[in-house]
Amino acid sequence: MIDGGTERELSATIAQLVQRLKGSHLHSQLERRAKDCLHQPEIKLESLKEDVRHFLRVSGWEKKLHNAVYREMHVLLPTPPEHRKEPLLYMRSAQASWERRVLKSLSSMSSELGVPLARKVPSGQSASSRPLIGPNEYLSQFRPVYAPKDFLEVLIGLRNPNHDHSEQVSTRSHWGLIQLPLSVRDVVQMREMYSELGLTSGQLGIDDEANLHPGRRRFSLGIMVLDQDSAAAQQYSRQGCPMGLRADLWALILNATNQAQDMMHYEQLKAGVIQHDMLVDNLIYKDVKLTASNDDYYFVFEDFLYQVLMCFSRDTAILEHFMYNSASPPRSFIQGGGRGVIPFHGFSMYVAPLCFLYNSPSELYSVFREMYVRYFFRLHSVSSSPSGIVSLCLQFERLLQAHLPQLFYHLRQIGAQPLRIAFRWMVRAFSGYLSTDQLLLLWDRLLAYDSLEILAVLAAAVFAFRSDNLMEVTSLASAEAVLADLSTLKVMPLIQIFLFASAA
Amino acid sequence: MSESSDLTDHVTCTIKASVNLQIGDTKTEISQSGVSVVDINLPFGKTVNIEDVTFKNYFCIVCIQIEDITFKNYFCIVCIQIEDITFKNYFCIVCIQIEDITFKNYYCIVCIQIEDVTFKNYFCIVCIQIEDITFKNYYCIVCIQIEDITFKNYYCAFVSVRVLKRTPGQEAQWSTALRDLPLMENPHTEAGSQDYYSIHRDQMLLVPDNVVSVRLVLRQPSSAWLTFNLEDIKIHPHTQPAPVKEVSDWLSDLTLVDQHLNMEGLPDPQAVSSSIQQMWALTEVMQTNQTTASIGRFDVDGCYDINLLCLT
Repeated sequence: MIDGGTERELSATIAQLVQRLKGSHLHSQLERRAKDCLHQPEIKLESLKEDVRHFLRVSGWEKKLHNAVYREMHVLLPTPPEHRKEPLLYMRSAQASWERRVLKSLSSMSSELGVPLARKVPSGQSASSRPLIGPNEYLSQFRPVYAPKDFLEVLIGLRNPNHDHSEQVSTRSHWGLIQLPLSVRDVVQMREMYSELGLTSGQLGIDDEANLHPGRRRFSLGIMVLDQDSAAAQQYSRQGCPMGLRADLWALILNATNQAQDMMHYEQLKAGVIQHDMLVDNLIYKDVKLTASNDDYYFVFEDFLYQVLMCFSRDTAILEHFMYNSASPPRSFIQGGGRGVIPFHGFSMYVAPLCFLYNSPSELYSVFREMYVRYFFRLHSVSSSPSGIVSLCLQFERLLQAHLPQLFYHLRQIGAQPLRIAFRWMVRAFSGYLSTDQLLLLWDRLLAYDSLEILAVLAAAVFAFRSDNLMEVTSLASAEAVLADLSTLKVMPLIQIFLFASAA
Repeated sequence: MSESSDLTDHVTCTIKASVNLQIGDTKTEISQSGVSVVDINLPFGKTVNIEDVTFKNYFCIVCIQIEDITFKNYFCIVCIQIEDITFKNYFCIVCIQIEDITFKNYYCIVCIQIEDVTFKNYFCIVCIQIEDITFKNYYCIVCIQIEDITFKNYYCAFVSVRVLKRTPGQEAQWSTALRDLPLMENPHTEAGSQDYYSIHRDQMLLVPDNVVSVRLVLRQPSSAWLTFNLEDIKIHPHTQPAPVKEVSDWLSDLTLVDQHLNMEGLPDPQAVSSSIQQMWALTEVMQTNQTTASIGRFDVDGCYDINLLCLT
């Protein structure tokens, strides 16, 4: 995001934005509309420019442009290319070596099982003769490429070579597993940033059951917001979205359209699924079977999940996000026809909650893709971004150490480092751990504040909530048992209490 | 300390016990304070011209009060003149009062002029590095106009820029172009630590013309980092912007020809085109607002009969 900056920086950013939007579909649509409107009698030759502009504004095209610019600003970073991915050298190298490991594991699985990374389905075989869902014995040979806990070990091992570790224990010593000097927000700064979640403002998720009047007013306000642009929708969602409007509000915030060209793109991807076989497809099947199908809330969406994820693995538009993602798509994978995102155990849970909101697969797909390239990719790549998983882990540990030092110390002594339990929650953005309505309320705030930091806050708040029980446990297994079931938790009160009502 | 030894040639003098700089309120160990002062009193009534001072070192950096020295080596603390400073923290600042010194190396504590300062925090300025960039042509010293200075940061928190300007007819003078530009938001954390920066001439306090030398003073107050410096330092000279020519010559000729058309007797083309456009707009309006009401007299059953027309 742009912040302040001199005029020169501003004009450089504007030039970059214009460059990015020039090749887009919106640009050609705007040109065409402008040309068409010349037939209107109101457009005068002397004041051509102003009249055309006025026309575009009045007919709603300016709003579309607003939304497109807003979206670009969210993903735009005005820095040189290598640097744009990740400014810190040691993080880049850590990410690169992690990717090599994953790819090696994938290739060895491919050669072991004799399944190529990608191949074109021979033309003799028709689509129907090839079983879309393989038999169980076939699937059981596939194992997930990695699980979140493997990734956690990588993060724990990260060290800055220029950091001075030689000091003795001091006020700055950190009891947690992540030993990196990243800048994370503390509670005071979080309170400022999340001021709309304060104790004095009504929230959906807390004040729903209150008398009808505020609820109805919120709903009608929401309907008005839907006519506005992405920024208004984002601001509105900070206090939660009403259930009936959530799907449209999220689509507006993400600027995920479902027009003819999006549906066509989706159909093309589906055709690609039928034409090409990929190793990743089997991993996706396996993952869906292991996670979503076993979940009481999401098993009904099995088919949707297969469709969306297989199309996702073939979508070239995803490649664009690698410009600001510290990860890089592995070259051999691309040549083999893959698109660069290797799913891990639990990946399908990113999509599952969205199935409650969107009926049509193409709309579901475009919302999921947009959410992935803005937020979810940060949860499984090594980067120093404040929304990246490394910063989230550090923030969680710092918040816990600052506000529940006794608990932290106790857990550390019994060998149950809190991050080992909280990591799997944060990597999946709590999907599959919370009940769905609570999860959607949480993701409302994620979209509204454009930051994943709320996941760290919630993780710390859960520990705070169960701290009495946790103080009595004596082993990692029993600590995990205390925190095994989060499905009864109400998210917003926990966050509110942790941020605004605990002594700080 | 004992009395002086028995070599001839030397002057008998009393060497007092070393006094450590006081850190905090309690007496400190010699190793913690980092600086101690040894007073050597010459015998009463005698003035001595000192040839040399000999001693056996035991892990201390020699403190001598010297002026006007050129440094060439890697680590040396040269001149210390300390008066009335109480340190309260762990790492002390070496206070140096130096004038007229040219440095040529990379790591050295150079110019700090501190008077009567009490430090109260835990980590004080540990090191400051200065880099000199001299523009030196083989045959003559070149003066340049600076457009901007670009570099890649490596864990440096603040940078100040000093320039040596040589105006013709006057002596070269050092002046500050930029003071304490923050490169890292928080010197203890990673943000901004490896970023690329550019200092443009508009950001400088003075106009960087006729510059012979540039000095960058780097500060990193946090002791969290092992080392800090700037990499890839590049200075881009200022060039006069090319005269603005929006359209190439032959194109501009065309437009000129356009305007020189002989307009006598003919109406202004702009007025003509706008009235044509208005008429066309009118026809468009008429088209869209077509009524079903018949126009009038000349149509019979909805169509014109040629014969009828002739008659009228």
